[in-house]
Amino acid sequence: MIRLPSENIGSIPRPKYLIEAYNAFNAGNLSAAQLDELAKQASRETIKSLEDLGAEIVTDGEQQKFNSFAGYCTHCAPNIAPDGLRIDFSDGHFRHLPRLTSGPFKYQYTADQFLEYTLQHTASKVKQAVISPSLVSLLYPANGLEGYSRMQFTRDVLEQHTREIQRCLNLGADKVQIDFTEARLSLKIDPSGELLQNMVDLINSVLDTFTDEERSRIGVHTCPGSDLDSAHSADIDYKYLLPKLFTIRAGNFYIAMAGEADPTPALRLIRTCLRPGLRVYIGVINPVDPEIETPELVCERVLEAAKYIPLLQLGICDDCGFSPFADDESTSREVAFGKIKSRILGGKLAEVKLAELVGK
Amino acid sequence: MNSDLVKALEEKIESLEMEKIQLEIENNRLMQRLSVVNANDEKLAIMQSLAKIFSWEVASLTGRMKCSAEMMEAISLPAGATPQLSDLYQLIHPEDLPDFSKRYEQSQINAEPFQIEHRIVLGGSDVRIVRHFCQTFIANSGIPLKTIGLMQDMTAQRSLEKLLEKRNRELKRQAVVDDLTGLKNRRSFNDISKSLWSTLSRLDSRLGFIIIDIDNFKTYNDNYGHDAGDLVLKKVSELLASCFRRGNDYLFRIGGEEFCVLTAGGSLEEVMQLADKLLRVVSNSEIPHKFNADYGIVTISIGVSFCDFSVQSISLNELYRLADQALYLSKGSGRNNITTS
Repeated sequence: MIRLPSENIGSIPRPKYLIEAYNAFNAGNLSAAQLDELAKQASRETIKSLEDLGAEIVTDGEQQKFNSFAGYCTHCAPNIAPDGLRIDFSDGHFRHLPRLTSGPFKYQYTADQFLEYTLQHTASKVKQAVISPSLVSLLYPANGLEGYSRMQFTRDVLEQHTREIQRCLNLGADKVQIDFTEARLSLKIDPSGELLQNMVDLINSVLDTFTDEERSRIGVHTCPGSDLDSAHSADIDYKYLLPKLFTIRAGNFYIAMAGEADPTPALRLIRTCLRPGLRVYIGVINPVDPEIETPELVCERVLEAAKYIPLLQLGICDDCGFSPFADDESTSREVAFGKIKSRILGGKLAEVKLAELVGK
Repeated sequence: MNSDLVKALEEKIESLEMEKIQLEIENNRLMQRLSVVNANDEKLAIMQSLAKIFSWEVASLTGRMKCSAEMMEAISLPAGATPQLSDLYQLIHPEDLPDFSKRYEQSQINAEPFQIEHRIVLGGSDVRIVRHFCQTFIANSGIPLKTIGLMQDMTAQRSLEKLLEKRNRELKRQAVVDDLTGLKNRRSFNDISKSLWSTLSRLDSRLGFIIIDIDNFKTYNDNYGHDAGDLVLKKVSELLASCFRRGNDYLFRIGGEEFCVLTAGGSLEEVMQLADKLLRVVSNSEIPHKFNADYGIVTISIGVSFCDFSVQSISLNELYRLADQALYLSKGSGRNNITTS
């Protein structure tokens, strides 16, 4: 029998009441405690919905991550300004990363706090996403900070990030996924690849502190950075990213593929980068596409990936989170769950077809 | 197995073989490029070693360094170790580190290349002077990527420069100073006399021109030897310096046993008093010279000319000629005396 692990990447659109609560919080009309309470309610609902869909591994859909998949560590921080690095998206909108205004840098929330809550509300296996140290490193201002050097900042980030992963593993996360969505973006910022190399080195310096068994439970996710139905770096060819990405010493890779115009070259490249013991989760759901993929389409995408990736090393996933930013209303929860359902069903369909093909 | 499946598999095998061939071609091409790059790296390493250049590169986000073999040796790390920026800082002389680190931090922000000369300490005690060139590369959005640095050992060059500077100073001094007596020489006389005459005539000031000659010095040398003659020259020079001590007095040895003093600003009476004093102190020294008829000791003859530019204008050559003429008269009137023109 063929088994294809199937995982979601991260965010599920927040329910309307949570988005309203978040906006009220930003307007000063709701306390952080009240917001947290509503986020926890949304987490419970999300976990339940994923279980009902038959997801073998669940998450809280990042309902408690404010202001975004990356911003939870700075949420409510006193030394953060909203006007950090600007990221432009293909549809013309842009986002700013937070900007550190003084040292020291301290995580306000850590992902293990969310994981702990999720574990209390499910018996299923749980996956937890954490933000990469390389993205957090971009919070340091370009003109430096008096009395708090970039090197000191980097040391603080690495130390807290390492502890965050370690706690997630200790709590019993089945998988800890490092969101490395800026990987492809880094090549836009610096086409020479130096920045990407720096980022890979940062992540590896963290991974080197874990055991082989722990690294087999850690994954790295990369994508073109979806937000509001557009992406920030889909125009960067995977051939510039993948060889370097696979030098990361993680046990799992989650690679957006459904949104690629022609996935074949990237899949072929992945085959050449694979090393024994790795599992590669190929994105078969495109969150940016408003249409819900059919299970048949998902199956087709899996079969295409299976041409290049050994079945024992293949898994499937969504290309990206559905709503990485807390105020995103571009995708409904219904559509997201519909897509996840297709992934699960399409994966099962593919398992049957692949079994037929290999005669088992 | 049906024939369609066999055909499909054969086609697949053929397509995979084609792909394999293409990959091998690409692989060969890359291997060739890699060998060229490796050869260039090797050449660069040799050149750096020959030029005594330490090179390094720091990744800005991680602080990790890549170092040339020379640099690894300098920071006392074995090959294969992963150096950090802190290793570079430890290499720099503690007194020079604040300057360097300040420039380094600035370059992380403005990406302006800089060079700085400072000391490094090798092996804990060997202090070297290096010229350090640094350049930081910054991506769009101001994110620093890496800094590369080159340190060139300037210790030998700086030592050589110091030595050359010292030698140059000595050569300059030798060009204008008489080795034996320490007085200014003829070349210096030519320069200073013209300049002095020009200045004093413009200021309507006064110039005293004194020529001194040791009496019968040739016979002294012939009878007492050149070493003894040199001692006499030195002694007379010392006496000359002891008499003419004002800042406006310029003392020269302008020939074998001939000296000159230019006095600026003083009156003729003052000049004559000093000349007379010199005549007496030389005589009073009682340096034996039995071939100096009538005296039996070393004596000198002096000729003096004088110009007060406020009332007359006499050329430098004329002043020289008049002093020389006066000296000739002193010699003719029995030596050991002074004549003024």
